[in-house]
Amino acid sequence: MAISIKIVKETSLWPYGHLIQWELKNDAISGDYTFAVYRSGFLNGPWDLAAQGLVNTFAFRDTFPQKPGTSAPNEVRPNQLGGFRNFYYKVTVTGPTGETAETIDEVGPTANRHMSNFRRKAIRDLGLVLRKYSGSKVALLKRRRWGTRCLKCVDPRTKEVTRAACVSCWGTGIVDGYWAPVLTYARRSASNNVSVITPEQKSDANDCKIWMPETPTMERDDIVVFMNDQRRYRLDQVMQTEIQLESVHQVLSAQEIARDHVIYKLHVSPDINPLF
Amino acid sequence: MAQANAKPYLGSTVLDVHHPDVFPSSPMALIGIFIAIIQDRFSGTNAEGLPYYWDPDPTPDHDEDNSNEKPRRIYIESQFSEFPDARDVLPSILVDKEETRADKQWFGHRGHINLPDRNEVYVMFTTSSMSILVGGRTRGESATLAEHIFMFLATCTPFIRETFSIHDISVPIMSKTTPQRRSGNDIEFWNTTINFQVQTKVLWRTKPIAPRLQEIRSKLSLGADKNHVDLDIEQYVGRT
Repeated sequence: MAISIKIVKETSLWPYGHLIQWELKNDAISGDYTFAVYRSGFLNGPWDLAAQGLVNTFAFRDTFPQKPGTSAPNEVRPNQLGGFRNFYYKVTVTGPTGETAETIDEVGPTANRHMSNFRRKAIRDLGLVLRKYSGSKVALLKRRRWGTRCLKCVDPRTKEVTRAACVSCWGTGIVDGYWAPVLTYARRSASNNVSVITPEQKSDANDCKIWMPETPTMERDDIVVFMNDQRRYRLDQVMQTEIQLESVHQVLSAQEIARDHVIYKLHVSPDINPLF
Repeated sequence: MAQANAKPYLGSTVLDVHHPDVFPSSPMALIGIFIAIIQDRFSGTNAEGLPYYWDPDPTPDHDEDNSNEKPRRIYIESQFSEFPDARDVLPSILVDKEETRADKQWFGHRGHINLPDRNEVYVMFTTSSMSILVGGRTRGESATLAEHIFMFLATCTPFIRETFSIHDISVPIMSKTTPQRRSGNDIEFWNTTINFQVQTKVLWRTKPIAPRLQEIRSKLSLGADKNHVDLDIEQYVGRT
């Protein structure tokens, strides 16, 4: 049988990183197994290499080192100095015969086996409901929290974004702005459209609640794109239901983004014509 | 600075394009003047090298990337518009007038009296507080745009006064940049406020018509016969 690999535990070592532990299955062939560990802020990457050439080891301590050849403040290292940071790890293995396998997991707690099964059932049921009945296809854009600072619009001393419509960083201050989009299904509540006259003229505001699966984990300032009506929402709050601290599903509070926002130029799906 | 069309009128002014109901130095006139000035500041050659420019059409072009080569359209209008042609556009510069105060300089506002015909000239100054909101999606954007407006107003005051016959414009005051949320349903944005005072001069004169009427009356009663001496003494009644 083909080898497979699974991340069994991620331990947060605030504020200095994570300890990642994994195990192999079906590793019947004797020899050296070489592992590589990659880190990202979102499920689909892109991935930063954290370690490679780990031979016959089953744990790695990621301390978020500075990328070689870079320095602060132009290169922002990942850090855990925030209440809502999400980290994903991918571990790949190459066996003695050249066979490969990989696994991806988000850093977080794990329920025990019995409750984990209940969790799986709840997640599966929600997924069925969203895919078949009440959900719509969405693209999730997770905002980058670390990476290369945008040289076009960020003031390096104050670290403020001076041009919000910059297409190099999409107004986030970090080059590329968002991690690769993830497609899933979500349900959106009926919109609460409000028009008010303010000093900023008449403003149209629209907020809603969004129900979505437990992964990938979202946080404030992330973007949810509804493919059905092309509306884009910025998240304000995230609430989760949990079993033994492990997420079952997420409820998001979101506000619709104004139509002239630069985020509308960021294409989330290459299959749609015109590009969207 | 490009010259706007202006009609000097007794020390205050109004733009040609205003509605006839808008009187010189009225709230609408002052708001319109400063909107026109700031729109001009971000137009044509005045906006060269800036990452922002103004256009009457508020919809940004697709290839605008907020760089100096392809600047981003900016929205410049008045505050509290009930039916704006675009909503929630950022960055934006919104102009409005706060209170207007009448200042008394002399007793009874009297400036001059011409004794032979008893014409009197009165002078009054009105001080209007102007506010300009500079909105942006990020703190840095709001702050840097506000700095542009602030320095523009601070340095071009003499030219603005001369062009629009405004008596005085105070130095501007720029507030700190703070987050704002228009309603609970809305995303927050960043706002910087610039305040300054505009002083305009109001002149008016009075011409007493009672003596003039009585002159006419006395001539009528004397009639065309110059030898008639039946003087009508009623011409003196009522004068104290």
